[in-house]
Amino acid sequence: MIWNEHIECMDREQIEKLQSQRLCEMVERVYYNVPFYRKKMQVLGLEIGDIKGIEDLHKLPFTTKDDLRENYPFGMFAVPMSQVVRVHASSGTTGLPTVVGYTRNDLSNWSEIVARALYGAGVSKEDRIQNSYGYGLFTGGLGLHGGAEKVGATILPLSGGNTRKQIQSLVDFEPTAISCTPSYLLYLAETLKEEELLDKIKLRVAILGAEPWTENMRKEIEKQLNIKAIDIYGLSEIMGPGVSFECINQCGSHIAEDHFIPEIIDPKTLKPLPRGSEGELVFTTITKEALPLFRYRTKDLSSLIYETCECGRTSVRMTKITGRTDDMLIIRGVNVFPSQIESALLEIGETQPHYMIYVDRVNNLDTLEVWVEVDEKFFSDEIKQLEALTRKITKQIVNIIGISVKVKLVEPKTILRSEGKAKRVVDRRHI
Amino acid sequence: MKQISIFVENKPGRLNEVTKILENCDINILALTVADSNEYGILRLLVSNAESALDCLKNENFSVKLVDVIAVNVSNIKGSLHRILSVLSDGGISVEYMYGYAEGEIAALIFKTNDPILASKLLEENNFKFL
Repeated sequence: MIWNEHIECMDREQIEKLQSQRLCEMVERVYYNVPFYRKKMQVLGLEIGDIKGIEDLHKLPFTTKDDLRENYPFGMFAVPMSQVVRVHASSGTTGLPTVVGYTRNDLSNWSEIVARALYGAGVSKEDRIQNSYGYGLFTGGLGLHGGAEKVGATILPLSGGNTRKQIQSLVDFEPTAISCTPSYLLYLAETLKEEELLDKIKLRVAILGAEPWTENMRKEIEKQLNIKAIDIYGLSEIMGPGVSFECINQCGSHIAEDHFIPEIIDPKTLKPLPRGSEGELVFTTITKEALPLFRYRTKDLSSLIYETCECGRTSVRMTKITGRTDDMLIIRGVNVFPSQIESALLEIGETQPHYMIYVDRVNNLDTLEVWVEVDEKFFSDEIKQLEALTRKITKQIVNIIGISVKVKLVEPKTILRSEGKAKRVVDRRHI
Repeated sequence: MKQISIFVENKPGRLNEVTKILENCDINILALTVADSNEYGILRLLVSNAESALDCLKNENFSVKLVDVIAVNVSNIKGSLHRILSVLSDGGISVEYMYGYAEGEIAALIFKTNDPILASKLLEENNFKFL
């Protein structure tokens, strides 16, 4: 099923013409409304007229998460707040969240691209969809919600967590589709199996995203639940879920090219790479009103496929994310930077920042453990005081990253010191 | 009296490591106890030379600390411990932890209290003998 055949199956020449036109309009809008970009363009000696089409895209400056942080919270918005109808946020690199905004048109475009994703996965108004992404500042819940409403599916807005309720809804309300993180769906599958409820559910398809996952996980999910597992990709800075999506052929995610222009760059030289190469994925938002971004560096590694897909869509496809160019971790769908944990430890002040982060997947749920060296300065010879310290560190980290963490105190000098850039993370999830 | 307290992770061989270091530094252990939690323990020792034990263990990167404790000698007969605790409790002292041993006619008790100075004074007034 194709939601918007006119756009999704447009030939390359036409889509590039549309992109060029929208890019030029965007550059003008941004130049006059976002001082941050105007300054950047002036430094580069770039004038509005220098961008005549997508062939000039490489002349524009890059944008990073740090830029958004430096302009926290609303500094990069291109419209007055009276036109912003919603704000979302995701974790930043050091504790300050990355804030994004949407106008009414932005929300409408967002619903449109999620509707395309749902149709791509075969979900229509005949379906009931259990939306188990968190509703709130996180874009997952409300993003999926808007698209599901647009296609007219019956939404069961469960939001994240509360496994008991999730299972009850799967059994009693008989949804045919579910949207959540792949690891959470595996966890739900385990629970259904344990309670011998697998034959009581009507699920047919799952729309999964917000964290990296492998082909092996896909196979596991499809086998355990006897459903199709479809990938949806997105990031709040660009829009949220729906920036790209897999169709039922599961061979790369179709990018909504009428809204976002993708590029693949070399993360070291920052030069665009030839078609088909693997590198860092970069997006320029050409229709966004509230928060238009030039060449946003996702730090995700991928490559682009330009051939027409078997499904008939001509839109460019991105291959499954193979890694990141920074040290960001995605744990239970939440972005976590080691620097956030470091800043939590520094705020406590009693610990020297020698720590190690261990990420693991136990029973299909991501676990986060932080080992902290016990400094002599605060070593107490009473267990109760050490336990109080553990609780204090745990609370501080949870306050900053928003997900649960286990803190373990270890002896001084037992965490490996490395020369140069310290290795702070051991990820045992094999993803 | 100075007790030495050492932070030790719960893993095989760690206690062994401490005793090896102390032996190499020519230090004799007089009394010991281990307080344990799930992941780590605190080893508390009375040793022949607390200051030098502290230096030796610090050099080997252990988190160590000297703690004031009171070590009392009593007769190994029933009611001895009760008499000490009565003196402390009547004096408003709370015991944070304690350990002890008995051999032959003598028993030794080691206390960590919230107020070691007052506790020593009270015990002295009541004619208890220190180790």
